[in-house]
Amino acid sequence: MKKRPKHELPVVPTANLVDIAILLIIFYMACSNFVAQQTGKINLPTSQYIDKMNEPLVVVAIDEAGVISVQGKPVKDVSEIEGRVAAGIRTDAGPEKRRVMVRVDGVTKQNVFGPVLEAVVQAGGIVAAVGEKRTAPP
Amino acid sequence: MHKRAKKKLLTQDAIPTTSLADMMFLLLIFFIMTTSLARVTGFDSEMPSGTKNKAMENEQNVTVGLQGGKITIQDRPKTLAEAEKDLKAMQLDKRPEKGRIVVLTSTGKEAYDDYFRVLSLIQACGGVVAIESGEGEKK
Repeated sequence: MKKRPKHELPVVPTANLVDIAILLIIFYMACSNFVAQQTGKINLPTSQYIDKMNEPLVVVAIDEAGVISVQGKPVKDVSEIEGRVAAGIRTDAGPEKRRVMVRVDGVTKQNVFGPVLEAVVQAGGIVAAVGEKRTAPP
Repeated sequence: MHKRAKKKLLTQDAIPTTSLADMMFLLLIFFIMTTSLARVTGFDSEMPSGTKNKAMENEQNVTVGLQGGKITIQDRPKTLAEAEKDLKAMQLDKRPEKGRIVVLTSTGKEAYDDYFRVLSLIQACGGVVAIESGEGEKK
């Protein structure tokens, strides 16, 4: 009886796979921002007059349900915002350390976002309003 | 027998790395899912704080109104393109700091989408926005 030749499966070299994965992890860790930006869904407003900017350390957000949050944690009252923003920024430092990212849903009414903007300004922050770039005029 | 046991002990000293790849890939998946590499777009606005004072009242500040999504400059209705043209013609960026103040008035029922558009326009034209709510108080 003729012996059948043994077919060995091709071996995929996986020795360097871990090294590649570690390099990718380092890349993502270096590029990540771990600041909690929002609690709910936010449809950002659009404008053609905005540009790319650096992300500030403090984030104030108002989602589509009108829930206000600072650093991802909801606030009970608008009066709470000023203290929490003041704690997160450095008023004695340059403008870069005073920037507060304001992410507000496009449908939010002024009687909701107005006091929030005022609280940020009163805390000594510079409003860094976030939106989406629109190329064509409305 | 004794030699064989010693050899076995020596080989057990190596750190087990068989599950390292699995852990690395779990971490990698976590970072890929949570990272957003796109830079945010927006504008910075250092709004003057405090209430309206006598000195500001006397100044001939530019007034931009926003009512029901419609824009007015010095009480004259404008489209966004016209407002841009007018504000650029005023050369706000070449004025001293006090002269750059643009008072933005609105009713309190305006949507942030419209508000954001006007704010970004004023900022792009070199103006410093002072917000005035429906009650007539500058913030």
